[in-house]
Amino acid sequence: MLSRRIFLRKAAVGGGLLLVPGAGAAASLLAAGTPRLTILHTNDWHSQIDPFPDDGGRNANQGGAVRRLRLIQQIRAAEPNVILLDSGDIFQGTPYFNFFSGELEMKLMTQMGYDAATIGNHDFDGGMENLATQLKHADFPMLSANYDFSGTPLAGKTLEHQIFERGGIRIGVFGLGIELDGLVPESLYGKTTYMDPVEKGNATAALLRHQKKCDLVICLSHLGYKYREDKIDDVKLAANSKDIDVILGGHTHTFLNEPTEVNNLLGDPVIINQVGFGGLRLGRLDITFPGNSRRRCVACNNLRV
Amino acid sequence: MRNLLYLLLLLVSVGCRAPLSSPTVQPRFYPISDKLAEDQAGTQVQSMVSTIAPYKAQLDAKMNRQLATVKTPLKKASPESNLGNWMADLMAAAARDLAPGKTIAFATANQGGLRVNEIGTGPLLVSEIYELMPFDNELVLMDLSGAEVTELLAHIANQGGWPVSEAVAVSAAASGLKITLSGLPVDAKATYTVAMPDYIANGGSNSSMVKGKPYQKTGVLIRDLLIDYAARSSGPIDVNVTGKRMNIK
Repeated sequence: MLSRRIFLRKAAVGGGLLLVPGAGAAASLLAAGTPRLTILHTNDWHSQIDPFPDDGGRNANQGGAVRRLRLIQQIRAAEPNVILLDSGDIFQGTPYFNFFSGELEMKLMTQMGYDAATIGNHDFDGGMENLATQLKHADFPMLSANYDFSGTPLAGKTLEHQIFERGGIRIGVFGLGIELDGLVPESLYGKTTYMDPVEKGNATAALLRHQKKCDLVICLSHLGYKYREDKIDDVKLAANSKDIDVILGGHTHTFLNEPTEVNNLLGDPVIINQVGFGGLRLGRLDITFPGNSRRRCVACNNLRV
Repeated sequence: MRNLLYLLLLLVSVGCRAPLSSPTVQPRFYPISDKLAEDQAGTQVQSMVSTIAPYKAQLDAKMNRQLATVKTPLKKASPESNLGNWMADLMAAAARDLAPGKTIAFATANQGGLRVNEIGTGPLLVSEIYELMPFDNELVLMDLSGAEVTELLAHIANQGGWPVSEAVAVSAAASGLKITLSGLPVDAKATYTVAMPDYIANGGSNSSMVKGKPYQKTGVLIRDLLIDYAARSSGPIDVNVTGKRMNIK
């Protein structure tokens, strides 16, 4: 079997705002008919519905859900195949959550057109009954492959994975959550069983790749980017995986200025990205499938957009 | 390679979709900045604004109350910070008022429980305390032996330093950690009352050394006591750090 390689083109991070109207320029460099997918993603937006307060702090007047919607709309208008994903910790951080329990967050993500999200540790903060209630306001699925919710209020309310089709591209998306013991009060997660993310992640990714024939396998992870200690993180997950192409991470509030590449067990690179917290950034990964020849792809690295 | 081509042709000829080739990734990120606010509004944006409006109106009434004025920005840092010190001191003061019969040795809270990096100068609003401490964590009191206190403070130091109230001085020496409480060494056999969030008392932030030990509930959320005690500030809030509480670098 051919080894699958995913190639990261290092370019155009930051100042992305200016690129929105000219996003067509990226397209024009590609042969007509080359499938292209635009992944937009957030993590740990923590109920930051209004922009950060204008108090002279580092994030003063930045972020905000309405602005995020505007940006997403601009990109959707320029790109044919967009998928919008979130890596968890939607809840907790502003009084909107304390008083309305996440109802507004779910309504706004639905209005923004999110396609899927995974569950962060703080999404348990109102209890599982509450999360189940708030999911009624969400018309996108919550994905988790390594929490077993049998016998809890969330039983049957989440999916392990979801497959999306965009312009002929088959995208398999699944979610992985962090260990809850020692992090989330037991009274909030109850009978939820945490399962090994590497084992469940590899099994789910293999299913999506080989049985479900997905062209791209995306893991929404709330494990955290990187820890010094043994604790599982996105970097270790990537290194111990076989069928994951992209890990969109969260939990550690890491502002990566560009995605990281980590080789998997087969020696093929896995792309890891994370965009801080508080809805301060929207991540974008444009995925193209330019052909099987490695040499041609390496040349792609030299294209300047 | 030739075999693969035949295989592909075969797949195409039997009507199966050929798998796509290996992907290439072009990354970017967008700051969600105030520049976006200048764009003209569309129906979707209008619809979102009106979804938010009734929620926001309810909150504004509760959240825009001024509690005090901040003179020096309260910043979160480790091992010690003025934001952490300020918060731990208010927790200790509240614990003393809530349990007048007890001697409170010190108060602590997990660093991860402080959810803002900075509270800027100017009016301190209720909303900012919600953002600092969004969790419904209750202040609880736990009686610990001196040996257990030492174990807890070692865990705190090991985690890079958490907010602790004024009585605590932990310093790193070649022989290990040197710990004093109100200037005195910790007596391994004495009993100390420590004020902490129920989250820690229940073993949160890997505090397994206190998990399962009995504690006294106060019925007061830490957020609410911070709001209450911040409003009692005499004059502008001006907290400076000496670095003596967590001198572990």
